[in-house]
Formats: sequence, C-alpha cells, structure tokens
Amino acid sequence: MAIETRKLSKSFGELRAVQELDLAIEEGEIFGFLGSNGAGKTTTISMLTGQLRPSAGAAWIMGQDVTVDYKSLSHLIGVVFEFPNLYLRLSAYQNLYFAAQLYDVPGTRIDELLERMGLTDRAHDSVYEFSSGMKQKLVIARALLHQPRVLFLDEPTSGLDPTFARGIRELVRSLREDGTTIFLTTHYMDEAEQLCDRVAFIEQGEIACQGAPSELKREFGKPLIKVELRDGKAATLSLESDKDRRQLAVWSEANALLSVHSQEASLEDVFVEVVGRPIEA
Amino acid sequence: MNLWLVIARKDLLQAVRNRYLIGVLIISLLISAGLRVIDFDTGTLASNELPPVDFQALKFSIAVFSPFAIVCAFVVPLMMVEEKERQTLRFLQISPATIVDVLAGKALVGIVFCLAMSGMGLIFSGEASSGLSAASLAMVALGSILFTGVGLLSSAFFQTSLQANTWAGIPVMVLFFGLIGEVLPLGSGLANLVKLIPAHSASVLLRASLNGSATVEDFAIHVIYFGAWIAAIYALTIWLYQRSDHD
Repeated sequence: MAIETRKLSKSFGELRAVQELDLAIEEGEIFGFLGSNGAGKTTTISMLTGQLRPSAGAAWIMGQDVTVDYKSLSHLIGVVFEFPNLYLRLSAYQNLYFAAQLYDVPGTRIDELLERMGLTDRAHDSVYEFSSGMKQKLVIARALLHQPRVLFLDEPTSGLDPTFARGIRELVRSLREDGTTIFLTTHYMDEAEQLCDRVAFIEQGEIACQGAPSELKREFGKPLIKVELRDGKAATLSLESDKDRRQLAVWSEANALLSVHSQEASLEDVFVEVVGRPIEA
Repeated sequence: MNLWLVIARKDLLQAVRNRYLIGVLIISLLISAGLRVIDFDTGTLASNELPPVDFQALKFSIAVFSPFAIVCAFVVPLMMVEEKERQTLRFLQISPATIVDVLAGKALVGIVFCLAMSGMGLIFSGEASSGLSAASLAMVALGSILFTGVGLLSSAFFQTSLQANTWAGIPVMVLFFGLIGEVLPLGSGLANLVKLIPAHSASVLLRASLNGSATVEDFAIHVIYFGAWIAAIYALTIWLYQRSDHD
C-alpha cells in the first residue's frame, strides 16, 4: 500500500478539521481527494507529509509510520503546494540546485527536469519574472527532483490558464506510467474525472464517500436520457421509470425520435447528491 | 555538502539580491563613516558626579556593533520571516533538512554579515588599528553570535515582514544599550540594570582591552556569562520553532 490511514484526525482547538479518516491507496494509483475549500484536504496532506502532527489515528507512507520519523519519509514523497512557494530572488536553476543539494541529487537531474517542463530557456531568469503557470511547473520539477514514489499535488491547476492546466494533467498521466502514486486534491471535478482511478469526497473533515468515478456515477447518478422529437419537442426520461421507458418505446415505434442523448451523471452531480450542495471553490 | 552550508549558501544568495537589506547595511556603514568626522572630545557630556566618559571605547563600540544591530534587527529576522511568508518553510519542513539545519544556516549568514560589516565599520570609522586584541576580537566574535541569535529568536514571534520590520528593533535597542551603557554617564540604578544585559560583558571587556587592563580572569568570567546567554538564546529559539513546527 502506498498510503494508508486509520482513523486519522486533526483538531485545532474546538475545530475538528479532519475526523477519523480511513484511506488505502495502492501503489501507482492516482487518488483524487475532492472537497470544497476548508473541507480538510490540505490538512490531510499536511499530516501525511509530516508538516502537521495528527491529533489521533495513524498514517503510513510506503509502510513507514509518518508520526514516528517523518524525516525518513522525505526521500519517498514529493509535494506540490497550492501556493508556488519558491525563492523568488533566485533563478529557476538556483531553486532546483538548492533542492538538489538538500536531497543529494546529481545536477544532471536539474537539466533533465527543466527540459521536461519546458523551462530550459528561462533556467537562469529570476523566478520573480515567471508567470503563475511557469512557477507551478517549477514547483512540480522541484517535487520530482528526487524521484519520489508518492507525489502529493495540492490543487495543482488552481488559477492556471487552460493550456498550462492541460500540460500539468498530461504530466500527471505520464507520472502514473512511471509508477508514481499520486494523491491529488482539487475542487475541479472534471479534472478528477479525467485523471483519477479512485476519488474520495471530503466534507467537513469526514469522508462522505469514495470509489472509482465510474462506480460512483453509477451508484449515485440517475440514468437519464434526453430525447428530441421530430415535432420539435424535447423531453428528459429516466431509464429507471417504467412509465418513461414505455413512452420511449412508443416514440420509437412511431418513428418520432430525432435524437437520443444519454445524460450520464457527472462527478459534480454525484457530489451534489452525496453532500447536498455543489462544491465551493 | 553539509545542510547548514547548503541553506546558508541559498540565504546568502537571497540576501545579496535583496535591495532593502543591502540598503540598511549601507546605512550601518554610513554611521561608521560618520564616526570618523565626529569629534567626540568637544563638549562636556558628563557632570562631575558621574564617571568620565571613555570616548575611545564608545567610538569603537559603535563602529563594531552598529552593523551587528542592523543585522540583528533586519537581516536575520527577515531571512526567517520570508520563509514563513512565502511558505518556503513548508518546503523545508518536508525536505531532509531539520529546523535546526534551517536556523543554523541562517545563523551562519548572520554571523558572516556581522563580522564582515563590523570589519568594514572599523575601517570606515578609522578605528581599525585602535583596539584590536585577542580579547576584543573574541568579544566581537561572540557578539556576532549573540546578536544573530537574538535576531533568530525575535523571528519566532513574527509571521510577516511588516511585523518583523516594526518590532525586531526592540531587542536590538536593549542589546545596544548594554554595549554602550558602560561608556555612558549613567546613574547607579540604571547602570546596575545595564549590567544584566549580556552585551554589557562585551562592552566591559572591550574597554579593558582598549585600556590594556584586561586580565585572563576577567576575560574568562565575561566569556562564560556571555556564552551562557548565547546558549540560552539559541536553545529557546530552537525550542520555539520545534514547538510551532507540526502543530
């Protein structure tokens, strides 16, 4: 198991930020951790990466207890923070060189990652001059320097333009092919749907439900179809309703159907169904 | 490479590219240069009831320690507070570096700045050859460690650069008063209070070394007292950061 938690909890005074979290994430999996802002996503990442001490429960990364010796985890994990926390007065190369020295990684790896992120031409420019997307790419490069087996991505595409966001999603897919386990937090449901093998919804510090996106959509979605008729009318029918199924058969026999579109539930719909309200960015 | 040196190298690179920090360091050199043109022997500052003022020691103290004050009040706290403000401290937390490595790296940079700036301060003020002895050099070295430690300690209480810029000067003013208090005409009550400030030891030894009256016993007592304060300040700083880390 790449990541495992048992009743992992964190309280800040009276506020119970994360409550009795149970997760089991396989190696090589992309796991989406979805929820509104303030739901407990970043607190969970902070506990799993040794930045915060849990109030109760236990967590393991690649079999190592995160609460015992979190520094021994540093070579196993990489973290892409939501905020691009870089040294702005240093160049891209100097930021990576500093990280390479901390992790005892050879300098050739820096050139390799700058190339992979398309930052080679700007390697010696101050990070002050970088756009948000370039900073985010540099943060990802820094997280990948020591080739971590588990990568935590905290809202990696938040605030990025669609081109950069697409590039980062492609990178995440390629990392899975390399065997890296990815723990992704996001409030972009379509992103999670495209990338994740499994997702969990977190609401007010508790897991509301978890599973593969397709399973969740089947379980919580409503099988609807939208039909357009030759007379210009349209209707939405439920495949679970006998009455609607009979009506569909009638229109079909009468050759009255112009088009039929499946109205498969999205993860957003599942979230609304489970949590009772839309996700808040 | 040792993690202390790795972090120190990065901090040094960051600091020399920070125009604000370079600006305040230049101010400390201007203060030192100003000492060259000020004639301390003109006028009467002390009344007959107070001990005579040792202007030579005062001038030497200001030349050496005003750069320390600038480094302690601005350079060191800002290095640490910027790590919090920019959230780069979170990156360091998940890296192989411990908080002790982070603090030690910054302490090294602070000490290097202190020594380099006070050396330049002595040259600029024309005091470079007036009082250099083993005792005075030892106190300058210990003073740089103390002032840097106080800068790191004060940074534990600030989250933003604005807070650091507003408040970090206060402990420095106390330390600086301890340094120059010995050569100022103070009443007995205030003089006794000044003696409790650790930097006072540096001042006493500096004056003694300038007069040629420093003994090995005096030196040992002041170094032990000074060293105890340094150990306590660094231990408290590490404890405060370790306590806030992970909670």
